[in-house]
Amino acid sequence: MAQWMRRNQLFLGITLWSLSQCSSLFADVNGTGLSVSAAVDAVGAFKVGKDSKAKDTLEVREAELSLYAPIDHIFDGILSLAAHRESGMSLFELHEAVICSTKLIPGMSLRVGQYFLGVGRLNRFHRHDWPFISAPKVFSEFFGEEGVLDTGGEISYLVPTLFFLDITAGVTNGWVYGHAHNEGKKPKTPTHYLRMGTFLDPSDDLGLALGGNYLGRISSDGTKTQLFGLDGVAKWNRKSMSLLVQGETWLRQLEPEAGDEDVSLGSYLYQQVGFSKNFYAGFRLDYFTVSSLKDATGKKIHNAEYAVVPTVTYKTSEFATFRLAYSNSINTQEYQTDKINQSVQLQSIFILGAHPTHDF
Amino acid sequence: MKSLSSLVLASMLAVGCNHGDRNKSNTQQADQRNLNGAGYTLSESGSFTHKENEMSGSGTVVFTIPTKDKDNSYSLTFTLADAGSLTLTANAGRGLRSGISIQFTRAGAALKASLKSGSTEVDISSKFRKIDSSKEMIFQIDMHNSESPTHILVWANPTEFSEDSALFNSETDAEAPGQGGGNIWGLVLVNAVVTSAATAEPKFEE
Repeated sequence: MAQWMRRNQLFLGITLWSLSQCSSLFADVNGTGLSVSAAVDAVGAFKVGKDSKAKDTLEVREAELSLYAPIDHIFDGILSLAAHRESGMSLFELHEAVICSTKLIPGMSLRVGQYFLGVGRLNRFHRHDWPFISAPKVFSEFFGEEGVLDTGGEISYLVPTLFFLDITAGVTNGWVYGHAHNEGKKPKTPTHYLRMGTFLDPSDDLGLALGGNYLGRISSDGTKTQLFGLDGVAKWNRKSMSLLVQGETWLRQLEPEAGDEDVSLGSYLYQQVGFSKNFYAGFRLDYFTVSSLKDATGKKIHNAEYAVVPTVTYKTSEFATFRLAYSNSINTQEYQTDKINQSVQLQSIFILGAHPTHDF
Repeated sequence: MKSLSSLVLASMLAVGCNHGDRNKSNTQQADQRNLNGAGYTLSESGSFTHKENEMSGSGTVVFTIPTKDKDNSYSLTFTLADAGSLTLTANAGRGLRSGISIQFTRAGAALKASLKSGSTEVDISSKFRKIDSSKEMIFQIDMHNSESPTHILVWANPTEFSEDSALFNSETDAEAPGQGGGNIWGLVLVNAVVTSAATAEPKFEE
């Protein structure tokens, strides 16, 4: 019975947050419910070897200003603006603008507006909340360097079963997908996605979240995109020691109306040990391949890109983080010389004001 | 037992042979030509001639090795006879279908340029008015096909690669008419002489 109650308390805690990023848990400021936060993410990448693509600069990758508050007794609102480096200048643009609720229907949350699509693991988090500095190859290839943002609607439903099952489904405009500098064109089929997630807690110290994902769209020119993915994260904590294992595997199929099908597959796996509340050491392995790659005669071309990224993290608190990483990637393609890209990366993150609680 | 060991040995030899074949460049296959070491096949040729470091005349050239990445840069060095043209098609399917193209056409000393995708064509000649097309032309062309439509940047005789130094930038000058749908690239020559054509990683990164 005690075990059952403990599990249900844990479920409730996780569910409250995983249902949505709405502000029922947000800190109240001056009795208005309005909370303000700012997050500044500065990164630097420095060459190791002459073939490195690193820019040898330190720059503010992103500065984000967020406002969030209850709108009324049912709805909450989130507005965030982020400045990104574009052509040497940092320009603020709308990041997220969402009205959301967990109170309309029991067990269901919804959000409408512009947001990061609720698929996979990294795409559901802002970059300054990632456990490493740079995006794994599979993520940057399929979702862009930062993740896929779009405007639409999303619902999540906690299915009343004996085990934890959360289903998230959404539809967004899909005029653009990933990195673009225009409003795009009306797609033949808008971006639509589904995530089924579960959570296991075999002991007090250990939690495991798993998800299965699908995303699809057909662009205005008839190119059909389908993504299939698995994501998982395990966390173990005992006293000041911790262990994090996080990974995602994605398969993408691109079928142009005319042209050749493109099938790509990639994964990353990150393991991190926390030696105290302040000091963490991690190691990421990346893999990516275009499995459909053929030469002009139709012969299959074997190719793969591998990377190892050891990362050290130092946190003075949850509001200040410093990272040092070494990235070594090898891009191999049959009949081509291997391309090696090595760099040293630095990151500093600071957060001002109240920062929303994070998902598991 | 003897037959089993023979089978294992035969398998190892077969694997070894297969590995050796895989490492043999396609450029070594019959009917392959190459330009500065880059293998290509020729189709729809007119008066086409080739040397180790030059191709000239008229014809459609498809480079054997595809570009794995969506974003690539292409360097071209060429001359055109009057009314001659050179078309670069990138991110195409087999037979250069469904790619994104940039075409350069000589009209006296002027240079006409256009972008093509499917049946849509965008004239970008106004950005190339300073180019003397009666002389050798050297262009570096970035095609970022991970963006939709393809983000294309062209530099002439480049020494640095920025958006500011680009002769043409499809983000600010004229939007590309679409996006490519493949990994193959090639050239269409009409009374042209090409002395260099190569791919590399994008020169400009945002």
